[in-house]
Amino acid sequence: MMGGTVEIDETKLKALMVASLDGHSRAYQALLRLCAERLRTYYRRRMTGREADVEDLVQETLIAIHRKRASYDPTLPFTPWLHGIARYRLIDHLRREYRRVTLPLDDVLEPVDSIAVDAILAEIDVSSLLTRLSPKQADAIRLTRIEGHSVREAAAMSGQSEPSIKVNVHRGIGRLVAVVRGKAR
Amino acid sequence: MRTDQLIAELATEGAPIASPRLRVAGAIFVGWLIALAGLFVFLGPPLQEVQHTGVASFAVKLGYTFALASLSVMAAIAAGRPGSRLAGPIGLIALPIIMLSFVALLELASADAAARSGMLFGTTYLDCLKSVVLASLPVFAGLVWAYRILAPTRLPVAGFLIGLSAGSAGAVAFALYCHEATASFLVAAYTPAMLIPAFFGAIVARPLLKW
Repeated sequence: MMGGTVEIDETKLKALMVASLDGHSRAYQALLRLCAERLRTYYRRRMTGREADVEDLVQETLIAIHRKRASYDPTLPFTPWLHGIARYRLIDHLRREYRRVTLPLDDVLEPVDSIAVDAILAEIDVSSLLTRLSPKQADAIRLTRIEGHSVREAAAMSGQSEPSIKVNVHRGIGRLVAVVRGKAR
Repeated sequence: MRTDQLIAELATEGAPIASPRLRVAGAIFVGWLIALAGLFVFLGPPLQEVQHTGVASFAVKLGYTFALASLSVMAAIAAGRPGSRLAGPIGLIALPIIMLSFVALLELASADAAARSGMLFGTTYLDCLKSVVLASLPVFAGLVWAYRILAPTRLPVAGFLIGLSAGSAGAVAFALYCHEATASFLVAAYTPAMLIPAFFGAIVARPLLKW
């Protein structure tokens, strides 16, 4: 334990997990730290260059480990259990992302009618939500939907072309809906 | 929230928790009692038929259904534990079915050709299907509740095994009422009756069991 890489093997992880299930909170904290490291490596290897997603997944998985800790059978090795949970969270994450990304533009246009959008916009703190979008999307939505300018005016004011105003409004709103739904859940 | 902060918070909550086996067993037992109460309301007191069929036939029916129930519950629990092997526990479930099918084949082979269909389908085939499926419902609900502390990674498999556990527990309850006395009937009626909740479980697994 003198700095450098301490080899944390299956035996130690398992011992920590067994102690954690017995209510040993320091062992549990140490275990979660070690799991976080392992998970970071695991997700980084699978989601190269998406550091924010990686950290989200690490946290989601730590929560899953916590909620599902009763599902660990102390007679079995710990690492396959951890990997089972990590893999399930990864698949779930990718599935949700896939659904968001492959939603065709037409699908976003149809159900998000302006009344629903206005109601959503009214209910929430708009400015904080707009920070979740790219600057161009945020500008497009602010100019057309909140300040009420026409697409042509908005294009002139923002320096974007008219088609890109339209696209940015629709993409931005699709994203906002996803954000709001995510919160509701 | 930063990951370190999250870990510190989770660690303060880390109280020891109940064993999944106990929770599952308790849920099945409560569900089974409800199923039994339901059967009592519709069919009256159990074990009325013992005087006609004898104790042995009841013992076989209870033994078959109880064996299937225990084996499928064990497999269902394994399916809720990431990293555990399922082939073994699932393979074991087939054992009583194969054994009883063998007995049924012998029984049918030694019987009169005209009597065979009566031995297979009895006089209460549909009643058996309906009662077993209905009796499995409270057990199914209890199992889904108990399962929430587990972490199934293959949802349809877990759903199938939960359904099979519920179906066979329902069959244990119905066996107390059934007056059919052949092994052939047990294979031909009870087995599909238990598989109906199992396939139902596999179908509804994703929305019901995802975490």
